[in-house]
Amino acid sequence: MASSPALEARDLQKAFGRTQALRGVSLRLWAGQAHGLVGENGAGKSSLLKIITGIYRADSGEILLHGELFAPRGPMAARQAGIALVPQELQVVRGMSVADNVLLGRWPARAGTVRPRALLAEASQALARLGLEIDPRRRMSSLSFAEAQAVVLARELAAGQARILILDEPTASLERAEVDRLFSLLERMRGQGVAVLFVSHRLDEIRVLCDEVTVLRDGSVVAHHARGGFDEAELARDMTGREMGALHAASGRPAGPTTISLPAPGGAVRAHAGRVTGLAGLLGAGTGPLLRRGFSPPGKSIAAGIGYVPSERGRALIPTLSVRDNIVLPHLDAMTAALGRFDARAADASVAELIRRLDVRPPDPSLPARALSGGNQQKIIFARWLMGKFHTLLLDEPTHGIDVAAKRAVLGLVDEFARKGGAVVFASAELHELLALADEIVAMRDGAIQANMTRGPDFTEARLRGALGG
Amino acid sequence: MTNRILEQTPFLVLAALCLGTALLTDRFLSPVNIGNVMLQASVMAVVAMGMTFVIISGGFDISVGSTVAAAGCTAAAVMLEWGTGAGALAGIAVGCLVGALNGLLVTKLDLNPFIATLGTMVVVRGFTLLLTGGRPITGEEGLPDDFILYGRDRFVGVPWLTWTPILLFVGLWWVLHMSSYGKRLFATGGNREAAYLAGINTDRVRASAYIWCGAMAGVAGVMLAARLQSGQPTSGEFYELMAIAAAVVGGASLYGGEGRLEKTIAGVLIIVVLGNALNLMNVDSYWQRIAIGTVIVAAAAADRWRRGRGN
Repeated sequence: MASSPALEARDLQKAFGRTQALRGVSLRLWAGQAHGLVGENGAGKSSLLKIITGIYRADSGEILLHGELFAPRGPMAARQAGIALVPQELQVVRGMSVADNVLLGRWPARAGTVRPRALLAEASQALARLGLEIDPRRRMSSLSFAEAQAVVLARELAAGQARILILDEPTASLERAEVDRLFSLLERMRGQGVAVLFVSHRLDEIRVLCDEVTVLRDGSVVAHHARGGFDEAELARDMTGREMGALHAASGRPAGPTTISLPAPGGAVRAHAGRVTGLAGLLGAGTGPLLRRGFSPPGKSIAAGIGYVPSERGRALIPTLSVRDNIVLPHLDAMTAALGRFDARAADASVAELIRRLDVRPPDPSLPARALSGGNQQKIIFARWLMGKFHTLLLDEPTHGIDVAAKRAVLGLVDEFARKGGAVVFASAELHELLALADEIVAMRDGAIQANMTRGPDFTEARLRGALGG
Repeated sequence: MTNRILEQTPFLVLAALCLGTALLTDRFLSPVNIGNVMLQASVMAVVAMGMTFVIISGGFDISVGSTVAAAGCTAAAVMLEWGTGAGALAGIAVGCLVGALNGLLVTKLDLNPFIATLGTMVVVRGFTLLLTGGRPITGEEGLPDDFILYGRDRFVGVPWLTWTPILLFVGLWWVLHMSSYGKRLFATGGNREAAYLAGINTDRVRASAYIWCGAMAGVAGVMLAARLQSGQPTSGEFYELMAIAAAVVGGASLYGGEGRLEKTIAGVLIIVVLGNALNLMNVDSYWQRIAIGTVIVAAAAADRWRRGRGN
């Protein structure tokens, strides 16, 4: 271990208007070690990353890089100083080749002309350093998300001889095998003396990968553990500040009639009143498109009492519209008075109750939806279907990318909806969620149904994994 | 707090502009000049209100200038045969028709709004010039008297031409900001896929915005014909740019989903008063273009800055 940390943040403070995003955060990254950073949405993770990578400047506090004071003037300065960031949303030029992307903006040139052979050679070298077998001549748009992520990793490391690598939710869109591959890549980086800062909502990954972990809550460091000194339950408690019970166990829900049947090769996925049907599948297994087909066209489905939550909030939320308007959107006809007037009073009344019930924060229905955190945005999307007479919900990865507390809240809502006699189809790649919540699980692979299991002795993760081929 | 003040920027800028001009030249507040400003703003305000609908829906319409000319010529021609009322209705109908065409091109053929309305802009102008032979339509004894009066007379001191946008404003404001249709329009512009998934017929909503816009361009064409006492086939040029500029100066987002009708009116007045002020101070008219262009860019830049701060 080196005498001074590769990077040290001391007592960083940052405020945005009246919101104090960071209240004195300190953090140490050591060369060759992986450091996990966890916290709920809005805990201050993004602000911290943006200060370290030079996008924001801290109000007070300092950063030491290899023991020396470091105040990056911008993202470029941080990059040149050896701090690399792999953001959640990859920044790539899809129309260019892999080689072009690896050396983006630093193409080897002579007299203003790019030297194609040198470009290929340098890019290959950068890819080989990570043990990647991607043809540098391929078009970026032909790559899978995992491959593109690896290319970005190679680029960031090649750009500034990076000594510090920051990954923001890198596994959110990866399949299990790809996560394993990413981890072995990170292992290799650590072997080369790179300090890794790993931000994730997936606490099991933190436990496997990280030498130490820092927990943020409300802009402060509330816990710091070394490897072996923590488990997932403890982290979840640190993050939320309260004891979390076990996931809702599905039990005692009587099965009712089938409300909707979604046909797929190999059978059909059926929703039953009072039941949760789990839909298991890895990325690209076809669960998302199946649910989407079940909600088509949306206007008719809504009239028939079927609600749908897509896997990405960006596809369901209207950021410019207020929280209230986002919630009542599918109910506009019922909210319309004489002459087509929007009945604001009726809308306010029904929304106020939902906001209280779902604990939406801040509880202000007039705020634009974009002002809310991801978990609260997801609650708004749910609130739409809890209003009026909806008997069936089609949920596509509804807990994707939200923090532990919001996840519990969403799972609780699903359970409550079913207990009141509603039918739910719940697609998720997180099998433990399905096993805890669902009455039956349908496993899909390559767009076809592989297996159908109901709660009983065989209702296990091992059997599910076998069916998924993961 | 600062955000709430920033929200009012268009009105503050307008107030400052009026105050500054009034201090620099005493002719600004003279009744004749105020009347001029109102007349100049009137036609533009009607076009800009229609444009606001399209911009909020996430679209764009650059065919309105041509539509103004087509509507004005149609109104004048029909009026000479069948009277003022029929002429005015025919002019507005032409506007609706062009709007419906734009709506179909943008939704059914899924064309980029810029390209689709660029096409209709050129085609409509071509038809107008073809059918009029490029000559103004005035008739041998001029347009009907009541129409000429509409373009010239006042009611309680305010020109009829200015009453038109005032009355339209009340109705359109209600539609945009109080009706369920307005919610659908804002939702569609804010995130089309999300609006569709919430059960909104987004194609119909988007097409309707173009029809509103075309109808308003039709009304503006009739107004302009009354003011010019003739149907002018070459009139209305640059109206599309001025209308878009007014909406943007008023804070509407070209990404859709954001805009306020009263702020668009403020945007119209800012542009008209600025031109008027420079006129009164005997500034070269070429400089006026430079000044107005600068204001448009500044408004867009201020919008970006505000957005960047907001998050």
